[in-house]
Amino acid sequence: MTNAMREPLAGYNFAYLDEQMKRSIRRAILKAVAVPGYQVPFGSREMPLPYGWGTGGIQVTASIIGAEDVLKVIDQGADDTTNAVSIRQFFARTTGVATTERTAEATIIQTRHRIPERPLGPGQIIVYQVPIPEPLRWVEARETETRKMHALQEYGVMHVKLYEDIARFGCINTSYNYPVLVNGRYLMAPSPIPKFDNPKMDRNPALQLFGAGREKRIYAVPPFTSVKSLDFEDYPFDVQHWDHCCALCGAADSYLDEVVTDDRGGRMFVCSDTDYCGERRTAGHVGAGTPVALAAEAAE
Amino acid sequence: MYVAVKGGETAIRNAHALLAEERRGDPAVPELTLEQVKEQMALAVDRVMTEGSLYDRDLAALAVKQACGDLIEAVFLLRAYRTTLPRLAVSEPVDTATMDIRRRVSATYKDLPGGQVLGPTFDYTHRLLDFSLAETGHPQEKPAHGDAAAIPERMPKVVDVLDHEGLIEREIAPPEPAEATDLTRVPLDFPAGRDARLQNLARGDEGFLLALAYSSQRGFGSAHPFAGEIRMGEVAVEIVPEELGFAIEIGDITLTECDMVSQFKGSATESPKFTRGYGLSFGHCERKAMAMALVDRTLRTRELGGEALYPAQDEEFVLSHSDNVEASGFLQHLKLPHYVDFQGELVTVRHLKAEAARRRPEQAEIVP
Amino acid sequence: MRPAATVLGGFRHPVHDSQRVFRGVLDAMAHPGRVVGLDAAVATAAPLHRGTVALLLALADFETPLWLSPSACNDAVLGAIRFHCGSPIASDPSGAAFVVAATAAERPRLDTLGLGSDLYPERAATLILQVDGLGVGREIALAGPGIDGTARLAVDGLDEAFWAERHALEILFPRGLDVILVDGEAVAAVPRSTAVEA
Repeated sequence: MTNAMREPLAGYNFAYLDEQMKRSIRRAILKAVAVPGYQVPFGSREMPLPYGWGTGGIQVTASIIGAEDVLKVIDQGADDTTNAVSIRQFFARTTGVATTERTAEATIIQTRHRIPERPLGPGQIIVYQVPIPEPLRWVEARETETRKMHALQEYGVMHVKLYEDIARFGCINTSYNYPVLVNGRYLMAPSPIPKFDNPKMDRNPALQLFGAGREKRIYAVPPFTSVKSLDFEDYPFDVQHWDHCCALCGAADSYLDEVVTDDRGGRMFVCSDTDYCGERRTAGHVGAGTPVALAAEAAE
Repeated sequence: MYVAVKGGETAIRNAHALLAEERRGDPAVPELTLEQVKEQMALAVDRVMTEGSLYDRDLAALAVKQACGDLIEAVFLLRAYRTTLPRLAVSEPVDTATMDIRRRVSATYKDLPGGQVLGPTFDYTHRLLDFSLAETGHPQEKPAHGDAAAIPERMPKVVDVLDHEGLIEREIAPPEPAEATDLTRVPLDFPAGRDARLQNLARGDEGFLLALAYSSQRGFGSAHPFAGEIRMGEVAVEIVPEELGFAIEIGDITLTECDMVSQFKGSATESPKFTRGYGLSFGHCERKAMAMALVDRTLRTRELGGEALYPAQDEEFVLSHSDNVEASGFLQHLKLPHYVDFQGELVTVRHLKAEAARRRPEQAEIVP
Repeated sequence: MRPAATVLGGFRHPVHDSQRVFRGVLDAMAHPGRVVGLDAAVATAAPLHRGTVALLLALADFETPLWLSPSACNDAVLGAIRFHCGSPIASDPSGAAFVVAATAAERPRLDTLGLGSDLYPERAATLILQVDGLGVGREIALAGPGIDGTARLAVDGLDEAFWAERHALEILFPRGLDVILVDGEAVAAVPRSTAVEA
């Protein structure tokens, strides 16, 4: 579904922000692209949506978007979750640009918590909403310290934390926001996407931009840049697997949402990426369409 | 057949309509006007202007009305509007010594030039619910306006004029007044200069600063403060337009200013003296200005050779968490869907559980 | 300040033209070595190329000190920058956020410019360097983020010392210099993350 352009909201500048603010964000984005994975501070402002709702991503999108862009907004992989709807409406109102739910048709994709299943192409820009941009925050609370650790590329503590996981649990106990090393230099938070999506970031032909509004940071991964999830030789990085296919489209390669269908342990697994699922169904793919019992549940 | 939950757009529209209905309340009750909010909820308006970083009583009153009286929400509305405003000029520093005083008290000196001016204050009211206010149109006692001429035009700060022995540290203006940091354009960085710190505290949540200041008074910190002076009144704001090259007055704003002095026993590098903390707010936000002055001082602990042991002394802790718009947003974003990440956690916990069962089969059956 | 009669026009549609120019330079910065046309009809003030003027209109303002090489320091250019951008003019290139060199011969030595610090690498300068041709002339091989394998960039009118100086900065990463080469209204970027053939 694509909605055509319309007249932007009267009384406000195109894309809400004033031009000086856009310029300062644009300069920050260019520096972020030049130093892949490094968090560039920027003069983030209050937006009409609350901090935590994606103000960083919104400010980045507002600074890059032009009249000819086609925008897609997803939250949890879906275009129709309330926050995705709300952000899409915000841009439709303040810019009048065309919006779409189709990954392939979008020039800019703003996302919270997922990367679309359909591979992104050259020329596309994906904008991630980031709550905590600092990957080291859970091992070191102080910005003054983490800044030094990045400067010295002193990331041993992160390896220690992951190793402690292995010692205690037999595996790395991080399922989302799994830390990555960008271009062999900067440790970076991929935002709270499931680790299932991490491999999609590596050498992606699209430009990946990250905005953290409350924490006032912007960072970037240019196209074709190495993005490596941290791991150990004897404990290589691995992603989530399901023993089920999508109940709607039968996909066996997508990230699945677990939908509770009754109060007796009935479950159903469906694609989190609604566009991907819809496209497959349109193409004639069909899933089993029935819930599964929890007893059939298997581990990773 | 399962169908994914749809209809986000309709749900949002309906939520807005329900909120508008709640805001209006019983339609039989006359609707609140902005004039009423501005005139009769003036302290709410002042707080919203202070923490919203925007001096505009009309917009702040609108924000209070729109937010149904939720002041943090009103601060947020004002801030979001501020984002759209271009920056036209930077004012000259205001001179509070020329304040048109409505209230001025000092706890450190019994009598002072210009005298103590009690002004409008809750301080000596008995907190008895006044049931006469439950009715409208109750006649009120007219205040006796003293001889306004008795208040001199220029009233220098108490702590600057009454310390003849040099026991109180002096605030020295930098020789070349550099452009002050503006946290709305450049994010906070550590260590923060005093300009950034004061701007952060002025925008900071009153409740947060109040609790921090209180903690320092109770011993989680080392402040032994005295209210050197609190003053409230109107001050002229001036700008220097580039094409004119001289200052012109663009209006008056109401400010509350607080100077706190604290005893300081001295350190290896500093001699014993009274040190100062500074607080300033738009309008009449006295509690805020006092709390800010205390926290400004506790945050100087390291500068004065001390060790920051308590929350109120820890610059990074205080300045990173003072902003209620940021805090409220991040806290409340937990309401947004997180089911993709939760799904990842489900997979992990199931795996961990299976792994634990494999390691200790005898315990796997124990259900808490 | 009343604009002098000689002040050049800015963008015809400041909001949309700035956005388009920015997206052009973002595309260039995200794909080092790619020659991108900045689609903005702006008047030029000699010796500045159209692309240089467009970049400054889109990116420079009162927050970004600007250094202009000697031949660009004329009244028309200075008047236009003061009027449209309001950027402070830096007398020393090391303190400038944007360093504009009208020709390679006028460029400062690269290691004398602001290279940022390990703690704050974003504080490094952006060098806007005008050349005689992009897509023609001596070819150089580029590799790094934004490049699928190796890219080749042909530049005319750049001295040999430039690439050697640029190569010597690579070891300093994340400190470094982000370079935008301009030829007419075409630009190509060589950010600090790019490894250039020595």
